[in-house]
Amino acid sequence: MELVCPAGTPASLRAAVEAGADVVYCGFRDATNARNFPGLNFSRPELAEAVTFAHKHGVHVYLACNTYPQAGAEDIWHKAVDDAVAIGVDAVILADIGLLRYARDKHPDARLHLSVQASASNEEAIRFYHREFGVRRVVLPRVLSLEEIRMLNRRISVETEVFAFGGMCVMAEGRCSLSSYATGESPNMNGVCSPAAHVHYEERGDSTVSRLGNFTINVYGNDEKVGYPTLCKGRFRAMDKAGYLFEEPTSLDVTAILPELADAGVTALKIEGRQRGKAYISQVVGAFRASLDRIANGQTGARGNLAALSEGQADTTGAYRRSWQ
Amino acid sequence: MSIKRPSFTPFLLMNPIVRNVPTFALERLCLHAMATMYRRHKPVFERVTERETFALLVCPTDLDLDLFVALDPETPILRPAHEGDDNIIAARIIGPLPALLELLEGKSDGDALFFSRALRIEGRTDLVVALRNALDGEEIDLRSAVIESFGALGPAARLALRAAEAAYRQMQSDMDRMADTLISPIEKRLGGIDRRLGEHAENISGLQKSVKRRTPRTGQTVLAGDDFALPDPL
Amino acid sequence: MTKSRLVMGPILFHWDENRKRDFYARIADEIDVDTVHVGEVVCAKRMPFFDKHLPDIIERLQNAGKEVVFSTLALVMNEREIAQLREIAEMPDLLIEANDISSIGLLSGHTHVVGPYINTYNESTLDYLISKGAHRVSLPWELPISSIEALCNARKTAEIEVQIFGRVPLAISARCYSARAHGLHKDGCRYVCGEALDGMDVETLDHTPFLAVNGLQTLSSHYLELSTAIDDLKDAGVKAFRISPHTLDMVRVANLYRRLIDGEISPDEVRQSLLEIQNDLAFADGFLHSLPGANLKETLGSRAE
Repeated sequence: MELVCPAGTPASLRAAVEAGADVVYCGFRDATNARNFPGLNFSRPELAEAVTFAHKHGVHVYLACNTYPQAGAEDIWHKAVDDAVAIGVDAVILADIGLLRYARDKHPDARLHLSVQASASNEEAIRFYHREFGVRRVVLPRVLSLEEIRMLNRRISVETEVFAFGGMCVMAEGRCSLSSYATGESPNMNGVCSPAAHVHYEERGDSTVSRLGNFTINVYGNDEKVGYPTLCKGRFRAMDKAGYLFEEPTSLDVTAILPELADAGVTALKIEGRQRGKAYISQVVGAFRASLDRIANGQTGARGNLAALSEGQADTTGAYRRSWQ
Repeated sequence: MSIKRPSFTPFLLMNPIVRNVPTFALERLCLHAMATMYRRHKPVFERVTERETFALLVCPTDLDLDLFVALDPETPILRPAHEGDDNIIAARIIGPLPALLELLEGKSDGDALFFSRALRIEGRTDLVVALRNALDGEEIDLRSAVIESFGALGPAARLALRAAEAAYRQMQSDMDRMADTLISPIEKRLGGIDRRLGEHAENISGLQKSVKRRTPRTGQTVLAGDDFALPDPL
Repeated sequence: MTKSRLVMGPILFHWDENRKRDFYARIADEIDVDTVHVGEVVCAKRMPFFDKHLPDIIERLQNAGKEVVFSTLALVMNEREIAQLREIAEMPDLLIEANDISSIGLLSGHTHVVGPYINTYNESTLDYLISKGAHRVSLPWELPISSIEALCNARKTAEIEVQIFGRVPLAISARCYSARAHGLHKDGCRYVCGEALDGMDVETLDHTPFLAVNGLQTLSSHYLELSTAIDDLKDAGVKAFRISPHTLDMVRVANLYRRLIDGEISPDEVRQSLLEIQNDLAFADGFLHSLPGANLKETLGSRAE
């Protein structure tokens, strides 16, 4: 399986290449990608330099242009696709139908991947993107179980890429307006979820309150482990109970089910975290490289120890196990 | 102001010295450090101020010294914090100095430090995130920066630094052991008390549930556990 | 100017058979809406309960002069659900609303309706959908008026629809939060989502109303209420206005919006009357004004309670 790793900065890209990535994915420094965070991402010259560096080391680079172009401003997204193709990235990762059509018409030879943000969760949807836009690979939404992925791979001719490690959306990706409901900014339109500019922490006695916009998202004791102040991983009240109604602060880690994923016909493993530092990239990519190499040599017992890097410092195999649902 | 809890690191032992260093000396040290940083890593300052310029306080929990940092693409400032800085800063980063330095060098993951509660952020979270991202995008090496700033004394400084680092590591391990020795009997006792408290809490929560049905809800935020956790079926 | 279309959206909640049948009977007999949506959007597990009544209901609504639209699932996850979609797509003379890309593929070439769960954010996407047979496109809830206007200007043939009343669907998941709140897994859910007829109230820890859970779906706690923007929407070129069913008297709600759209009453009168129907309604219109969706523009900063 191909190891696809994140990079939010040129330094992270170098770290990923050195740690054994097969592919590094990144985005331009604007609203065209789903990690539009302050101080993050690549300028055009930085991307060109990164592609040269990666190719020299036999590593591919994918560019994520996976937000939904704004009506009246589509040319910003068109330009991003044009520039990425001109720079020579090995694939562009897209979500929007209109943008996919533009890319296919304008750059018929470019390799197009379908972003997780398009939430193509079934064979009919995947066939649609393949037939209409020539999409060669689909990044599967994090809502499918291992069995569902296996069934899917038997029925489609397109490559599949699944999330292997990192922050996990509990909602179907690209179909969630929780963030914009609280802050006015969404993954689809602005490339951000629960953006830091709308996050505030308040100390209340012995506890910390995290607020997103006008809403309290969580209250932690001083020694409690925490996660990102993402809306779906907050504590709420319902039915006279209180707690993590949607999801505990936890990260995905598929190390334990790597052989099963390979057996299910998965082509590539994606590590989440373009917003994370190079220390994270080195450790996670290194651990997955080692696990994959062990499996390739017929060894079993792949077991990383990446919990410290995880939200809430806890891991889950998420929707890959049906009991998660 | 936030409450600072001392972190048990060797820097704690430096406090008597830090407290007695004349302010002008600290100021000169800061000035020198920032000039070095700016010379070696100008892109950090450009990246981080892409959207706006701002100032923040860095508050090491193991040192009686807060630092004021003004981020500006041309004239950045580093100095000991003054009274009144609270009014001009956008955010505050609080944590033990070793963690802050590792973060500066990109040796540890800022998010992971935050998840473990080693670091705390107050104020404009987005600006701290921007700073973290900008720093992480550079290859910052404090050792070579320190050595470089000693100029002609380079080789001697390198030896001195290596000795200091070794001493620091030894001290950290000694202090960890000491902390364990001091704390473990207390922890054991607390554990016992915790268990008994837990039993009492269960009794009380039973009582509360019967009372709750008859009383209106208060508008107060209370610390919550997780009532929604599901057992994992086999 | 052609008459605006008033649309009754699909019932999003797991109401029992009797409640649903009564609801559609009243729409057929008492409500002046042009279009009525039937069909399950949220959870495939709910379908068997009502499917048997659908042919009669559709016939009754059509006889009453309504255009009937069959809404389909927003999140399609397996073979069984695809098979159901194929069956629906093959039904003759029935207008179908696609809410997942899979249905766009299946309906391509036939006249159909594109639902608000499809990401129609820009002109190119709208243009593509129309080229595949979309005859009406209901826009995603988070779009601001500037985008709505740009899309109306770009459209060649299809009608543009916008929801103007009811809780806003914000997210859909493979995980069932109604079941989870009851300590159950989705596979053994006991249909507990049916207990909350307008969705299960979700509050923040400090008791601020925030969201409403409806099985796999998460909605806003506040009710979208766009009466104050109705003229702007009409000017922009919006032709169809959707109201989403809740337990409050939808006959009265539909009549209010009919009269609002026809210019007979003011937005103030709509709000006042809505509060007379149900006095604890909290309204929001933030998305339209590029604000947090939970905000109400008139009371900027403090949400209406």
